[in-house]
Amino acid sequence: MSAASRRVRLTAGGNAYAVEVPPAGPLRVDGAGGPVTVTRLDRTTFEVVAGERRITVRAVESEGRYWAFAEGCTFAFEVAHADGGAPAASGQTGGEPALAAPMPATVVALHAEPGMTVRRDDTLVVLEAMKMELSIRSPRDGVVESVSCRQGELVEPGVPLVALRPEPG
Amino acid sequence: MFGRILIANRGEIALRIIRTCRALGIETVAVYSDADARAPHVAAADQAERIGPAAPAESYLNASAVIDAARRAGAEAIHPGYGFLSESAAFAADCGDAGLTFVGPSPAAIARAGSKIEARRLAGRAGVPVVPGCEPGDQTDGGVLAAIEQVGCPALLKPSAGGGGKGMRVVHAVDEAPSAIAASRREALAAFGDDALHVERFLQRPRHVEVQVAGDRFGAVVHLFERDCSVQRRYQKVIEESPAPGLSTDLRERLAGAAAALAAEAGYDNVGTAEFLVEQTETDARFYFLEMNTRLQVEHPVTELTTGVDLVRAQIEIAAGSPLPWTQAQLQSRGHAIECRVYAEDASRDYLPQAGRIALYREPAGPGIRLDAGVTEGSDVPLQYDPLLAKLVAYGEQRDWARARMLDALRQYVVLGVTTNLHLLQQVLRHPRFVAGDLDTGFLEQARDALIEPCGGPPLTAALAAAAACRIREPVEPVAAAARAPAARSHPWTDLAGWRISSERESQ
Repeated sequence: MSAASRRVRLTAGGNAYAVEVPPAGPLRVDGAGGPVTVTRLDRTTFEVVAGERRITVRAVESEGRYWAFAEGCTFAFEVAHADGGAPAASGQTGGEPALAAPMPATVVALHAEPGMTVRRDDTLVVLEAMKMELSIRSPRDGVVESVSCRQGELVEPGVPLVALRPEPG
Repeated sequence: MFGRILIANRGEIALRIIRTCRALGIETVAVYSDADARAPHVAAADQAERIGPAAPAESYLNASAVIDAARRAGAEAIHPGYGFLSESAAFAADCGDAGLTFVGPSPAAIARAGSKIEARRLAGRAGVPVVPGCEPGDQTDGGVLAAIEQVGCPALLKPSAGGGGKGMRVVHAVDEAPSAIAASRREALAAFGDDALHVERFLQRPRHVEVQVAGDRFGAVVHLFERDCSVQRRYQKVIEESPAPGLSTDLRERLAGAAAALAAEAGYDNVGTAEFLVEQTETDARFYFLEMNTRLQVEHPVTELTTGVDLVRAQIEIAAGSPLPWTQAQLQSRGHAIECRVYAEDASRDYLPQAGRIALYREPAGPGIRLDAGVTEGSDVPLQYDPLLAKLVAYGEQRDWARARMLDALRQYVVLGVTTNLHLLQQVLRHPRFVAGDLDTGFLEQARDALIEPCGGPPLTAALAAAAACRIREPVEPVAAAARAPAARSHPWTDLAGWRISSERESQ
């Protein structure tokens, strides 16, 4: 292993790929069974050879992810550099899913207010994006701690809309 | 004939209409919202007019802004495309009042055929069966609830003004009704500007089969055969084909005859579609008229490929006062065509629409392949509009050959930067039920687990793709052409690019 190699961890579709990237020459990838030679043909086209296998990969970086296309499949890799720590936190707090929009959306109805007692699966917020509605439901029985959105507001993904009071005990 | 037409739409359908206008020698005027200033349909038109902010209600649904734009641009006619204002009798009438020709049926024909209440009366007069249901005259929540109780559960709520599955809700039990009514009304109001609801019985395992029709101002009516659109998610079509697989010749002829009778009864005077639900058992097949779409359908290309006609050209000529370009005897369906709708959506997250920028885009091509795309590399996919990116259509002498060509084209279609359903489409095309033509509108949901597996491909493919991706950030160094080995999976159509004389790649 070259001392100058970078170590990159890519994840897509629940699978992780640890890649060792030397400044030049073949890469090493978990699951590739040997060295992998990557030749860049143009800005977005790569020829990849591993043993007897030779494929063409199209790849670009966009919005912080590495996107790749190979053999009819598309991969949107989340990237973590070994020296750069873990990937950015994904809107999770305290092990409980954040009550947040999964994408940019408009708040069309708000059914939660601070102090309100809610049951599991109660609809707290109704969002609309691309003319379709989606409901943000309560993950458990509890009490609404705070509401940080207004009806009609355009909200960004990952930003909590409603917080539940922590469970007692 | 018109000298200049304004196209009151966006995306792939605006581009599709521009193509036919160009071939007819008609100048085109695009309209755009602030979200679409740099969209491909704006660049493709001869001129373009801004009609308002990104919100559809303030731009593409704003009838007076569209009519003002047509006046400013000196257009003689407005083609509405599909969705937005295309099925609004009021908009068609406003166009007439402004001295503009609406490229579609007359306001009276839209009113007779387009409203779900009127369409059911029409079916009664034409002797065509309909799904049991009713349009409550009392449109209060209580009135709609009473209608649900009368029709019985499971019942289906549909916006009276709409199409495309927007605002539809199944009510399995009466206690679900209040929240379903509220949600249906909100979506109906946002999409169509009208929150009237229609209630009908929800059929089990139906197929969605529709018949393309056309009429002119002289009373002539023809049908252009059927399309099966049973592969749907959230009541929106994903894959359509013609002919409908597995229907007897007798049933196909009865459907076509019923559609033509409906169009004739309505005095229908442009291109339209009669939608039916077909319930097939081993011994029996019944069909019920659903509604008439008084506009061009999204899936019109499958009919164009199997019949060889240009439906947009027919729309424009009929609107200009010409008679139908074909007699029934001249129309024939030949071969098989399949259309896949390529959506920016995440099938693994309940088909959640995706917004973003298309960072890399390469279209497939080849014999029997047609691609009607609304995006290109660098396009933004805004969150305000329908997530349809493109329609990929494949033609073959038989269904299996159309399917094979479609699969190959899907595997060559590169869209990076926004999550799409391209992998789901491949999985559907390979599914034994799709291969056998054993379809109903619940197919996508029933086969969900087999279809929504992540695009892993062979594990080695993902590992090799990951390796290539790790070189993205490095500076691009030119590679000598001689040093390049031919790609292992060469594809004659896409690889032809490598032979371009004096291209960057070859001139190093």
